[in-house]
Amino acid sequence: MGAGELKLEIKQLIVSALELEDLQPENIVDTEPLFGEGLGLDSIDALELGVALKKKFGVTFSAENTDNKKHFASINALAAYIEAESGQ
Amino acid sequence: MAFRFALLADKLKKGPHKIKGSLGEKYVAAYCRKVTLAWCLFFVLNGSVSAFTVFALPEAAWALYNGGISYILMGAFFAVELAIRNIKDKTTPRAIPLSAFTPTSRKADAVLCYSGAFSSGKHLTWADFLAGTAALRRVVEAAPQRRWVLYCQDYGHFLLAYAALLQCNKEVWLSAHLSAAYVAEMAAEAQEETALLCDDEAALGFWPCSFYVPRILEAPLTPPHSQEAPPIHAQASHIVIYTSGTTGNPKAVCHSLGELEADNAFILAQWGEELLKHKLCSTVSPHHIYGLLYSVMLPFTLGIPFRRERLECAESFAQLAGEPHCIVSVPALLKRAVEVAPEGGFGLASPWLFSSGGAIPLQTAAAVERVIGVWPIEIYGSTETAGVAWRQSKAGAEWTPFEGVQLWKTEEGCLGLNSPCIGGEEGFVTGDLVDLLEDGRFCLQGRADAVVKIEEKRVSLTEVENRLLLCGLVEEAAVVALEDKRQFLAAAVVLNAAGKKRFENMPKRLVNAHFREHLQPFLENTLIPKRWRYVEALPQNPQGKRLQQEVAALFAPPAPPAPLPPLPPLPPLPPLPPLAPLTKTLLLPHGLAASLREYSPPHTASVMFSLPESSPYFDGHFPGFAILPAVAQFELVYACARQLFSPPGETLFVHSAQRIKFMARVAPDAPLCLELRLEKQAPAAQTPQRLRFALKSPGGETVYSTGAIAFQTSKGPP
Repeated sequence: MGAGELKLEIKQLIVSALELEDLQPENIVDTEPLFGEGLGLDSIDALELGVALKKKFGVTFSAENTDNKKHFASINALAAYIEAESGQ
Repeated sequence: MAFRFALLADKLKKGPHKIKGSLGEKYVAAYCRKVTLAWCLFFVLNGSVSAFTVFALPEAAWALYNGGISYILMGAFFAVELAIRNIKDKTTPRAIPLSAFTPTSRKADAVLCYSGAFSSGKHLTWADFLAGTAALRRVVEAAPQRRWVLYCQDYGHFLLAYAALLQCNKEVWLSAHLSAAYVAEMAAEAQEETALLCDDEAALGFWPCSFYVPRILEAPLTPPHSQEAPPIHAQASHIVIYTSGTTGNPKAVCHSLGELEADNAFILAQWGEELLKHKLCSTVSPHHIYGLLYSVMLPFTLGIPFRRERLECAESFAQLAGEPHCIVSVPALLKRAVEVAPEGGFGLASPWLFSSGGAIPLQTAAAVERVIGVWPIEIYGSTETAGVAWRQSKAGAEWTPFEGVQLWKTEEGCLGLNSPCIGGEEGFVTGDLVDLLEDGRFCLQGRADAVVKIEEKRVSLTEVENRLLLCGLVEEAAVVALEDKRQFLAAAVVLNAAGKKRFENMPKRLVNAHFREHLQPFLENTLIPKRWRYVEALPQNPQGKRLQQEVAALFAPPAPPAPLPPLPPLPPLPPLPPLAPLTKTLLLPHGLAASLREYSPPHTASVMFSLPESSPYFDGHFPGFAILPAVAQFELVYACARQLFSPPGETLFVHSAQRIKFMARVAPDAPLCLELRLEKQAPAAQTPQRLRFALKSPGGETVYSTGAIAFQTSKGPP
């Protein structure tokens, strides 16, 4: 799977899983922060998104993992994490 | 001398004729200054003459002056000053409340109120007032009832009837609504025989003991009868205001006349001087506390003429051009006035404006100043508390409490208060959230019932709205709490001119992002609205109260995109009770049951049930505020659908929940009707079958939710 394709899939997943309004997957910028400013997601969205990512890509985000924040920083970071995990 | 000023000092603070805070305070103060100066001059002269007699004149002359002439001069001076004081006293404007007037309080030809315009000459004078109240007293005294419902549309009739009832020691009941059923309800609340005094012919038929004010006034009494005025006791006279209350349940609130007059006294002390220059007209019914205090009692006490007819619509402000008027109004009407005002405003001459009943948004207040010519003075109060505080928002949003009002903040953050207008020690706790400032003023932070929890975080909807207003691009904002898979806030925004210009042609997601960023510094992410609607106006009822449900309806999600993406089938749900034969009863989870109302196999059915508060469905979502969450609604739909629509030998199981649209909260124990409709499809199709459902009240007046679930079937029992 190409990196671009993966990123688009993640974006589609974000929009559908979080039922984001007024937003197309392609509107999401790869480098933009997902939480806080940028997309404005919150901790509840993070839980929801974690579940959706697990279902779709089989990647897990455990509660103890302090790197979660880093993985969720942006589309780029998420894609890198998923690629690394599925590459193992 | 010392004795005289001591008397004055005593008068300053207490008693019925207290000077401090009274209307004539400034006149008295100015007069006292002049008198003091005159006495000082007199003593200097007197002392000089006396000294002259000591040193330059024979002892006999000294004795004559200091032992006689000096005292005669002093006495003469005192007598002259007393005479001047009496003349001055007559021309000093005086506040004369209902509990203190006598037949000679005002001149016989003094105008109390007028019809139409003051210049039309249709005046009701002090003499008419005395004659009219005397005639009304004859009728009232002859009736045995102690409690009287007073309903007069004409402020003049109202004043006369109100005064006459109080003079006869009757308890006055007021209600802004008057229908046969309502009068009966009020009478039932009063728990004793009640009479009705009104100027509405239609209302006469409502009650066996009714009196028509205009007919009684056709035969006013003449002197000497009209020269009597039985005193009204401020503390022993009671007025009961029957209001719809904020909860919708009618409620009787009792005040003594003294409590109401204390409210008037503050207004007079604050603005009496200014108000004396105005005629008064009102848009507020005298059957509300605000209308009673400001449209009837205030002008009577001040002695300024008031218009007998209510100003019914905003357009009628135009009739007030020419003479200076004090307008008593409410935010909803003022807002309308801004909309209908002619170019350049109504052209009113030095107007004065009171508003109460709700806060006026800053921008509206500015617009009101533009069209009416004065920034409104807002009064904060309620039926229970009468007036509490005031502000002119031009100078800031803070409210300044009336004199004698004590404020505190309750644990819940609400404003508690006590004042001379509230009987009793414990005071009154409002439903308004407050921020008490060190200087004694306070800011209102919205209604306590506007506080919600979003995913365990408390937030005041009003606060979020106010934050949005502060960005300068928003005219009005309404924030509501919603829930689908999660709880979230949603904002409906009316952009102002600057906002419309700024966001012209901008995609909605960027407008959303702008407001999100504006709120970011003040609110946690979870509390920033997730959904946004930009509308021309917020749904409101005619009184200007916002319709929260209709705001929420703006956020109904769009229909889901069809067709469904193929999903792996979900594992079957945990086993349910064995399939019941199709009788009139369906089994629901948690030991509940539903009864079948209609059933037309194989595709439609409706079932009836209700959920007790003890049901686990209501657990823990919002402590103290039970709601039925989406997952529970899906489970109920599934339980019914499985029993009703499973083909022979097969069982339905959920393929996917498609959507749910919430329209109203499902309360515990509410009777519910669930309508189910399975979409038809070819018998052999293996695609999921869609079931649409609607949860309604049995009569269909309320729709709680609608939605769709996709089902598949599997062979055999689950």
